[in-house]
Amino acid sequence: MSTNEETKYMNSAEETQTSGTLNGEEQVENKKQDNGWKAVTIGGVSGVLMGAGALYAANAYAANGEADAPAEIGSVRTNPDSGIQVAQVSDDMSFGEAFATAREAAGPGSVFHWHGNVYNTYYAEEWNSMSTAERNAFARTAMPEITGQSGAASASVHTPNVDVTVNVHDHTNHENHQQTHGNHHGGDHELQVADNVNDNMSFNQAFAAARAEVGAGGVFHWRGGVYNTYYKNEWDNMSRAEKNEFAQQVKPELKEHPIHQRELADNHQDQDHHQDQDHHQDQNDIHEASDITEDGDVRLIGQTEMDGHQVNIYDIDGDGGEDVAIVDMDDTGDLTPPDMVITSEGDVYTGDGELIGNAYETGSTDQMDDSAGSNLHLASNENPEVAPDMPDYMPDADITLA
Amino acid sequence: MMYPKTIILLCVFLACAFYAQAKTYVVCVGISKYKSNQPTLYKSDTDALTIQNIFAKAGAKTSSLTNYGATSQNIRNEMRVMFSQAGKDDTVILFFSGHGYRGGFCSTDGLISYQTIYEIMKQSKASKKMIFADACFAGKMRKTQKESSQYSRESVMLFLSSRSTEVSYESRYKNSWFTVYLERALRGGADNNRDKTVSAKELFDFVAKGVAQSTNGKQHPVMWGKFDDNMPIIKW
Repeated sequence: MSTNEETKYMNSAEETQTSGTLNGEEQVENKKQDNGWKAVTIGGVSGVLMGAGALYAANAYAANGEADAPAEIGSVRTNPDSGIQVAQVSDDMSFGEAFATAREAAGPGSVFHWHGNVYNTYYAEEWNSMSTAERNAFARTAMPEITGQSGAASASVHTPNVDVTVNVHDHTNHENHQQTHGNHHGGDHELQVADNVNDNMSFNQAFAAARAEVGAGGVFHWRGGVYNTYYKNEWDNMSRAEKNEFAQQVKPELKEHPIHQRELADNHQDQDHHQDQDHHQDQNDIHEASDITEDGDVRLIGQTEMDGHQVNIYDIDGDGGEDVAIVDMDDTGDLTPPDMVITSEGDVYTGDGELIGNAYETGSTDQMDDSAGSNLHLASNENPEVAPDMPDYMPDADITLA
Repeated sequence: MMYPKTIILLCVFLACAFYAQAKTYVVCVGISKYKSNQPTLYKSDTDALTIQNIFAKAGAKTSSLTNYGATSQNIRNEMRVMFSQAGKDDTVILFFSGHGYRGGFCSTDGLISYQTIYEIMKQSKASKKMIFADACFAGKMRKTQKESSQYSRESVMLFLSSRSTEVSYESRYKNSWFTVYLERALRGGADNNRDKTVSAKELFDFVAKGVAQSTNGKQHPVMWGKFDDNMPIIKW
C-alpha cells in the first residue's frame, strides 16, 4: 500500500473520529451478544423494535459509515403512505435521550429511527395496556416507514472493487424473495403457502397470519425458513405416515424457495458446491412450527445446527428468549438419551434427564457478563486447558492443529 | 554485452517468480444477519469486507461470505476450496466477525466449531496459517497454555478479539472495535519500525492497546500460536 494511501486514510474523517475514541470518551455500544431489542427490554424502556425491516436500515447505516446529513433534531415528519409521525433523533444520543426527544416531539404512537432500527414512542405501560388488535393496527401503520427504508438500503449496498473469487453476500432483497415465492404459488402441488406474512412480523404474528390465511397444513416463509401452520397438538396427533406425506408436499417449496441459493448459482463456479448446497438445504431448511401450543406456552423459536446435529431452541416461558436448547446428537429426530438438553442457565442434561454438567466453564456469573444470556452457550467443545489467565500474547504455544 | 544483460534479466525474472510463488489466500466471513435465532449485529458484514479489501489491495487472493450467504456449509466449502490452492510457501488466512459461543462461531444458519475450522486449516499445505476472529469468547479458540521450544515448520497464529471470558464489542463506527484497530494496523498504523511491513508483534501491540482503551478495559485481544515475533503479516 502506498504512502499516499496511508496519508489519505489518516486524514480521513473516519480517522479523526477514531482518534477521538482514544481520549477516553465512552463508546462501548453493542456487545456482539446483545442487540438493541434486548437492551431495550432489559432497560425497561418502552421502545419496541419494529421488526426485520430494520435490518435493512442497519445495513444502510453500515454501508454509509457515519450518518448522512441529518434533519433537525426534534423535528417531526409525516410518512406520506401511512400518516404516522416520525421524529428525528440522532445516533449520537443514547437510547434514553433518543426516546425522550422523540416522545417529546411527536408524542405517543409515533416512531423514530435510532442506530438502524425503528422504535415506537409508547411508554411500557402504554404499550402493555394495548390490545393485540391495537398493537397490530399500530404495526400496520408503522410498516411503510420500515419498508420504506429497505428500498433505500438496497440501493446503497456496496461491493468492494477487489480481486474476488467468490462473493456470497446476502443483500437479499426481500421483495424479490416475496416475488419468487409468489410466483411459485398455484403450482403443481396442493400445498397452501401463506401470502400475508413478511419478515417484519414477529414469529407469533407470522404464524397467526399464516394460520388465519391457509389454516392447518399449510406453510409460510419467514426470515429464510419454511414453517408449517400446525398447532402442536394437531401435529402430535398426526401419524408418522401423515407427517411424511406432509413433508413430501413441502419438499418442492423448500427447493424453490431460498433466494440465496439462486445467488450462489449465479456467482459460484463450482457446480459440486451448488449440489452440496441443495443437499444441505433439503436436509436442514425445514422448520416446524408444531411446537407452538394454542395458548402459546411453549414454542420452537429457532433451529440451528451444531456440527451436523439439529439443535432446536425453545421458549418455554413466553418471554421470547431462549430457554432450552436440545441437540439431537443421534439424529433420530426424537429426544433420546444420547441427546443434550441445555438450559439457559447452562445446565446440561442427557435426553433421559441426567444432569451431566454445566456449559459455563466456571459457573461464575461475573465472568459470564450480564448479556451472556442472549446467546447460545453450547460448550461441548470447550477446552479446559484454556485458562482465563493465559497471557494475551503467546507466540510459543505447543500447537497442533486439529 | 548481451550475455551479462541476459543473465541479469534472468536473475530478475527468477527473483520475481520466486516472490510471486508466495501467495496469500484469505477467506473473510462476516455475519450481521442470522437465519437462526441470534440477535442482529450491525458491523460484522462490513468488518469482513473491510479486511478483505485490505488484503486484496496487498495482492492476496480473497473471498468473502456475509450474512445469509455465510452458512456453515458455505464457510466450510469456501475454506476448503480457497485454502487447498495454497502451496507450502503460501499463507492462508481466515477472518471471522460475528457471534461466537464457547466452542466455536455462529454461522447464519447454525454453529461451526473451532475443531472443524482447525481440521480444515490443517488440510492446507500452507506453511503460514492465520485466523483473525472478532467474536465473543474468541479467546477460547486457543488450544493450550503449554509452551513449546521445539522448531515447527509451520507457523500458526491466532489473533482473537477478546479473552476467553470476554465478549467483543461493536463500535459506533463502521466496524467492530477489534476490526477498527486491525484495519488501522494493517494499513500501516502498526508499523513501528517503518519498514513497510507489519509484523505479528507490531500488530498485536497496536490492536491490543487500541481495543482495550476504547472499551475501557472490557475487551482484550489475544494472540496465540507458534510464530516468530517478526513474522510478516502484510506489506503495506
